[in-house]
Amino acid sequence: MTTHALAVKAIFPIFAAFATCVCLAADIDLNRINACSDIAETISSLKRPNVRCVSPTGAIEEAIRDFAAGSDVKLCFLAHPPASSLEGFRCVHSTFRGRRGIACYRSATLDLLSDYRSNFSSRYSALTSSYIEQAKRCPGSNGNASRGLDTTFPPIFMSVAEHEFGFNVQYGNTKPGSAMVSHGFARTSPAISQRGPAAIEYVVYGEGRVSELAARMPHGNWSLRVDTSPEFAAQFIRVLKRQGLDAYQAAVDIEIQRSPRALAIAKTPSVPDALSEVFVSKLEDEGFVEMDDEGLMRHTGKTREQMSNAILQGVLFGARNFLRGRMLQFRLLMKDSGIRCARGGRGAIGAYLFTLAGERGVQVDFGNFSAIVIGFGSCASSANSSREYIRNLVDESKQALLDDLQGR
Amino acid sequence: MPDSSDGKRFLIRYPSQVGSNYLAPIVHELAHVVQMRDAGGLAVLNPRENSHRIELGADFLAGLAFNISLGHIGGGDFETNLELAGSYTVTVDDHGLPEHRTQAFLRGSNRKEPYPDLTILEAMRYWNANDYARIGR
Repeated sequence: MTTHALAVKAIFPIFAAFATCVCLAADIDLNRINACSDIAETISSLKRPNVRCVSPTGAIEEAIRDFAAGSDVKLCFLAHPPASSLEGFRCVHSTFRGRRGIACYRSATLDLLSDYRSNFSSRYSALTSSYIEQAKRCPGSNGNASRGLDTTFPPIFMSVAEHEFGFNVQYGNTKPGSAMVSHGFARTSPAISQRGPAAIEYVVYGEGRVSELAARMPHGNWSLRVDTSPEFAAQFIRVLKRQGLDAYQAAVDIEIQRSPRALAIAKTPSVPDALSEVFVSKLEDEGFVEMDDEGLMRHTGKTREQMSNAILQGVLFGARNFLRGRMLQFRLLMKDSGIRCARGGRGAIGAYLFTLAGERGVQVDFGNFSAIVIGFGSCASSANSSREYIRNLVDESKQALLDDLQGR
Repeated sequence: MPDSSDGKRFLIRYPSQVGSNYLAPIVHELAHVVQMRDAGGLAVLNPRENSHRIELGADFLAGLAFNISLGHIGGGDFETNLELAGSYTVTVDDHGLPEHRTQAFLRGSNRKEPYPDLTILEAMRYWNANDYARIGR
């Protein structure tokens, strides 16, 4: 298989990818974020080196392990929970760039989840209010406690489950705090529920402030969030490297919002699609060739629609809600000649372009455009100028995109 | 819930048996006055059709009020206040899911971009045109 074909095929695996116990008559025990001494003990245990890691057990742990493989996340599945009150939970210790956490879970039932929703007003409303108030009063808490939202669902469980309901309390002397404890319930993905529980109860202790999204920048009529950090496309590179494929990438992601005070702008024709055209034009000037439907089928055995579905299936189960039914469109361009690193089929450069429409009903949201340019084989090497070529190509194309937006 | 108005006077009903933690609910109710004045009256708001939007909008405005001028008192009791708890059952007088009420209040009380640059009325309109749509049912 040529580097070109490998680069095309590579897209698939990427995407296939108690203070006072507030107890209820049912099995929902609201006794985690108000367990002040257990929390203090567990947060303090985060700083200690792990004594013993064991192999992951079961569908949930295997999925968590697989998702983290090759990333900067280091996992240690614990033989025992860090606190006696967590008896019956399975726990995993994680570190990610200086941030440490312990995530624990145990099986729950869908009946429990529906009971909560059906009887919220009559049974759970007062109990959950009391639960949150108790959590705020724990020593060490900064007083911020609230109901969990899908946006605060613990990332470690996103590959296996989606938010149903939960509660958070922050710790530390600052607001936002420097540590957070989350307790909640989640519905597992079909892949998990087929050979594991249909729902889980989780408790997550996390230390270290989570960095916020990059600030938006005003740009003409627009308010943009432009991301060129390596983290943005890291998942791509991880999967490629796992396949033994040398790869080097440069990427740009632009989240497009209309400025709050800009005059109304029509959402059609699509701005991300227009930016995609600008990027394609730059690439074609450099000798890239866009792969048509026939080319995709020939190299991958899949139609464009099948590939789009594969992309959607690759979105983390717990993060699907963020797409809100929008389809991620992609285009693929390749360059395997006219550049020294590609001679003799030793390398190729692929450009993966993605567009996401703005959310319907949100006036300022015009969607996203992302481009990941990847050098494969010899074109990933630091021994020639291909890395510089890829970086410059993305930089120049990014500027062309910003110029285009300035005129809109 | 807004009850009636003649354009100059507003009648906001509030259960009289609530003896404590009344600040957040009252700020929520006063937010309805802002909504009615901006819309031009209760009838224009059309609460029968738009209850969910109106109530979450008032939660957002209440959060904004706590950020702007009531921060020293604290809005911490908003989501633990049983009068503002929300429900998973859709009713005619729909106030939103518990999570959505929290989300709306926090969007106001955190007052992150673009809200610091907007006046209260601009913020309310921005919420209606954008953030409200991001909260599903």
